[in-house]
Amino acid sequence: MRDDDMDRKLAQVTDELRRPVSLDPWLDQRIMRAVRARSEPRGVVAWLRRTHWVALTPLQAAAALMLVAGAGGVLAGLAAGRPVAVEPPMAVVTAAMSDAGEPVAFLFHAPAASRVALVGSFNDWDGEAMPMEALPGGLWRIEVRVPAGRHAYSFLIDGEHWAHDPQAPRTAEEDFGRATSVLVVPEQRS
Amino acid sequence: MAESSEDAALVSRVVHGDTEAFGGLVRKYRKRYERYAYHMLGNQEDAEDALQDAFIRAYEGLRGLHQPERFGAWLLSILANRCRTSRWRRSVRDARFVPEQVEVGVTPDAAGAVEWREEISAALGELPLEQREAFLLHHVEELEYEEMAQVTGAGVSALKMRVKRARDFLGRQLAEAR
Repeated sequence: MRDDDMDRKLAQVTDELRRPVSLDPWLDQRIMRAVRARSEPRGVVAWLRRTHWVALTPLQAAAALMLVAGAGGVLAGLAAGRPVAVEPPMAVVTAAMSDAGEPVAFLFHAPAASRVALVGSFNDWDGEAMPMEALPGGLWRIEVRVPAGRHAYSFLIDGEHWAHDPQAPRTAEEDFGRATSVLVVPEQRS
Repeated sequence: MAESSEDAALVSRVVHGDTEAFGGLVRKYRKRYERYAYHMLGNQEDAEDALQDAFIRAYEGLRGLHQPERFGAWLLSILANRCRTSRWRRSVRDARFVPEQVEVGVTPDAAGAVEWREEISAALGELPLEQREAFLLHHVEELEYEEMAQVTGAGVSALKMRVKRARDFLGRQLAEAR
């Protein structure tokens, strides 16, 4: 092969090799998850600082919601003669309140999944918007702020499989032809 | 490779406890280096593993980085080392291209392009690791030989020889292609 032919051929090769390649779009999140895991303190202090999860029946969860929301507020409502509607929640609503919505923690068990995302009416069913964090034991967790009201949601496994929340009521309607669950976030109390 | 005060600021934040600042470095360099990892290792899965390992090693060694403004070059040297210790695990054809996708519903031009990529990948896979590394760093990532020496730890003259041998080999292998 002549030198100029060789140069032309190698230019074609490098042009081809300089094209962008496409890896997992979730790779950044995977890397950061691994980095965060290495940044967490270990030992008793770490255990105390970590969030711990328990499985609750809808009735237990309703009781937990009442406790977390503050018995005072509930009792005040009852004392004023106003009914306090507590619908069966599928995620524990924490005590902190904000104009941006309620912080709600979602927990899902999917030991075979390599990634899980929370999708719902509160994020336009965007599978990229709310990736869940992998925990030991095949558990996945995310805490997000959700506006007050009724929402439908699902878990998106490995970007293609939809699963409803087994701990939560199912929606009567099937959004997008798939099983979805119901989340009801109470109005913020003043 | 250019020094970056922005990188130095992010490194400083991470070292002082702001783990999330590392995300800025991940977003900047993951995209920049994924092509190198992919061509060095020959498939997506190994490239992703190598990138993840490199970032984790960088995070764990960040306190020992004396020139944080050169984080990019340092990360590339970690990645290059990680790729070097890996190996060409599976055949290029199995890992990169699914033959059914070539045969169904593509134009002859598109099929020819896929075949051309396959031939390049196969030729790259036959190169000795250090020649593949030198060729990719010089001709694809466009590093100068002095920069390559810093990344690989090899001498400039050795790197020039590796690039030349890689060029000769690829030229011969691909002479009849396309």
